[in-house]
Amino acid sequence: MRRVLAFPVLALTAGPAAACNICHSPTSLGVRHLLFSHDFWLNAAAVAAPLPVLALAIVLVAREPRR
Amino acid sequence: MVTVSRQPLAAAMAIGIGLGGFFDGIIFHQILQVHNMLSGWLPVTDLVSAKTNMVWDGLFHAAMWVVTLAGVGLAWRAGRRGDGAMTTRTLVGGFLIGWGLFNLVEGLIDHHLLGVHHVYEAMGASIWDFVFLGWGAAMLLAGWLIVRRGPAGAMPTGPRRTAP
Repeated sequence: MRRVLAFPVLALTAGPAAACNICHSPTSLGVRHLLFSHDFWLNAAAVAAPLPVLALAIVLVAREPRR
Repeated sequence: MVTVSRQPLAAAMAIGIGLGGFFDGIIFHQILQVHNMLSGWLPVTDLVSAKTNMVWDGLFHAAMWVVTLAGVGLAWRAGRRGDGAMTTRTLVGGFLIGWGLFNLVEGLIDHHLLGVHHVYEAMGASIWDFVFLGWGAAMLLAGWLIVRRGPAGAMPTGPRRTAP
């Protein structure tokens, strides 16, 4: 029972993340640096750009025309 | 009396958009690796740039997962409310319309307008970007024709109506 309880407790603490072997490698540091550089929000906006158009198309088809 | 609704078509369309997004991401980004989400702005030249692109690929996949889930939700709601039948034509036609729409919108915005990536990144802007658009237009047209030829009310063009 203790082992079962220990799992969610450990999962919610930062311990497992600190123990991550690859999270602090030079490669992962480079990835984080590149990811969160000054153009993060521009990149995020570019990735998300098609979504509003696609969502609008779904909404327009789903909407019942008024009588 | 059967109430006719566009909800099943919208559901199939949303799932089709998701399928198109997953196909693009799985086949082009991951298996063939001909481009990544930001490979036009952040060229894949080493492990760091490849992994950074991989993160953006993952965020794109997550968004497609949400769209697919929305499609499943719409289908569930339409079925629960009895909003018309999900006929084979509506399902297949909706998939094709959604997938084609994904190719057209993603192709126009990402490939042509923003240039965040191109279909075959090694060539930059190339004929393959237009092939991608043509493929999308063909799917959209095929889907529309399938839905249009479906049973009465599969895609009502006028006000909400009832069929006997």
